[in-house]
Amino acid sequence: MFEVFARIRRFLPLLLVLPLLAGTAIAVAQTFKTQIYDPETRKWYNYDQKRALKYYRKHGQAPADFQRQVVTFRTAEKPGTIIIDGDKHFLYYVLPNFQAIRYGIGVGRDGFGWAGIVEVGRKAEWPTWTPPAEMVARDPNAAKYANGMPGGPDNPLGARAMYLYVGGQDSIYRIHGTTQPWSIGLNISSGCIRMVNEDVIDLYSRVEVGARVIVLMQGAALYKGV
Amino acid sequence: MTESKSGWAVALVAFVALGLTGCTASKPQPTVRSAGTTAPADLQLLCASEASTRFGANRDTILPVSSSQEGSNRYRVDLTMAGESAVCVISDTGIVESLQKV
Repeated sequence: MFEVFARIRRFLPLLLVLPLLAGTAIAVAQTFKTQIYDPETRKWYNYDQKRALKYYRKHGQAPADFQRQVVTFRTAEKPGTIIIDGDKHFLYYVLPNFQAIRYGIGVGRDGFGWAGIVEVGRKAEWPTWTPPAEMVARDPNAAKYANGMPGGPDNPLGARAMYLYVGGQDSIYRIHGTTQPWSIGLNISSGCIRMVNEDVIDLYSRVEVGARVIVLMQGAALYKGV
Repeated sequence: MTESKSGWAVALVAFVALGLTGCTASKPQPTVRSAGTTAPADLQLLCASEASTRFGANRDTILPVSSSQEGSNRYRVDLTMAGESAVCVISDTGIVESLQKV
């Protein structure tokens, strides 16, 4: 219990500053959702949780555009940088020669999206998940893990986690794996960036602590520092 | 007669091969898209990089916060820069056409 209060106290300055920064974000606050093309009807449909689950059950993976692939990426950012396009649900890992590895991701649901410039502060394999205090208070299932759920296949952080820091302090946001691989392409998280376990393992093997992470999301609250 | 038949066979194979090549060379169509149109992430960051150079601002304080398509081959990117704002227009080939503080 003390640990939870200690965590709240540690994050308090960040929690206080976030609404202030949100006020500096642009006025148009909208979180773009994914649409999927149906070649049979030749129409685009909203890719919501129901459709994503149905697609995953049928194909055993997310749509092709969300599969890991090397793409052209014209950037001045140095190799090793991570760029997250929250609007299109892509994460780019910058490679040399104007290329990047593109991964499909799930991002924050309405009101939980954010944009900013942070860095990878630490990394963990099969990380422990500690539910936030408010989740502990309202959810008996989460309450039993108030002191941390050990890493493993049922842990919502999945196989790997990269902890995002700003100014040497934990931002409370992470790039992590998931137990819900069907959720790639959705606005579904509490602000964390989720990837299928195979992809997060691949990214984890490439990313170094200290790597710059740029998060783009139109209309989202700006995170500390920008 | 035999030569004529083989000629037709070669022409048929060439026609099929050309057809197949035509299919495989076409650009794959996207299976998903965003409900809203924003500039590609690399173009947004090229604008941020140019703003850092042109205005001498710390790159950690510059972030694209909004973007939209303007015409068929250019995008407008809105930047925040440590309390200030700028608007960048960039072509889909990555050339910054204009960049101004607002």
